[in-house]
Amino acid sequence: MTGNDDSFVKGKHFFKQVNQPQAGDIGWWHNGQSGHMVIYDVDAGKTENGLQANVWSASNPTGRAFGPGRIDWYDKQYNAPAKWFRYWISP
Amino acid sequence: MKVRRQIVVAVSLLVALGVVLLSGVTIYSANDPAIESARLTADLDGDTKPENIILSLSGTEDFRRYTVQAGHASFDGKYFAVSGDRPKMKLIRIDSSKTQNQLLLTIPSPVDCGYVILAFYQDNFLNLLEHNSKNCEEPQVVGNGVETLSWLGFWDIPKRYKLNQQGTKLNLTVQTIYPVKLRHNASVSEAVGIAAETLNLKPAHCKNTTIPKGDRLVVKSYDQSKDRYLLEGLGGNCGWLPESELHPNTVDGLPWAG
Repeated sequence: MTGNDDSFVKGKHFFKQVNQPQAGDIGWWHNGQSGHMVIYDVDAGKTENGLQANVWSASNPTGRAFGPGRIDWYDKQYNAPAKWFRYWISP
Repeated sequence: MKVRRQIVVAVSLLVALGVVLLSGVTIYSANDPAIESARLTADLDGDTKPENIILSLSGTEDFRRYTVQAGHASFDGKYFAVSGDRPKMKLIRIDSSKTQNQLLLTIPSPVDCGYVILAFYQDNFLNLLEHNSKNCEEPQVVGNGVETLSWLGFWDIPKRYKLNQQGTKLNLTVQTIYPVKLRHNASVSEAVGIAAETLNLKPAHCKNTTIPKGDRLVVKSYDQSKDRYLLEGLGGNCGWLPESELHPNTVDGLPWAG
């Protein structure tokens, strides 16, 4: 995966897959038909129902456009755990 | 003696409860009953006798349960309750030449809107179609079928499904080439971009297949069978570009991600 930012060098900047997420990593769920992406942040604040959030998500089109969410919501929605990706510059 | 028997009974009950808890069996308490959320009376199967259709909700967690019942038939699933949205149901008639009606359910999820179309056949619910839409655009009745829109990065691909003769199945209408149209609330319907680099395209219907860097172009159509887009430069040059090569490094200015 490469971007189009001027400072983004083709073939040098990547996202690599990681097992354990850390702040800023991208989480991706996909069930073959639809998918979703989030940004990991263990201090993402509280969800609408007052629980501790651990991701930022552009979540619900009928409600908020962007806000705190929880990994387990998306695990349940897609019946599978996320794949996590980290921005990475090749050595 | 009586007290001893009561103690034995109490201990037995505690042990039984422990076994149930340890075995992971979900206990539905009396505090967690199904609550009726909506009700319809309509003839679903076209036999001239109306069905009483009840949508009920249960649970207290982030994901809760909805159940649709008509007579002895029921259909259920989970919905996302954190935002306060509830499942909805409404009556649709996919084929206006028939007397059957269908139910369109809207199911809240944490990421989009889920839609389920149910038919009622021989006293059972049949799941005709499940569809998710990021923009909460529900399936539309078109002719004797339905049309759904699915997001493909910068445009929505319309898919059409036709109801079979019995009304028991929605079959996808096979279409190879789709015209690329932007969503109805976009300022222009054409997908206009700028060549971010000189594009050497695969031959299509025009003579010259090169679009120079900096030229404006239109993404005209999508060929699903070969997973490629037809690009047309304003100078009349055109050609096919594989879907995997259509990104901001090659074509700038497309409304990616909506």
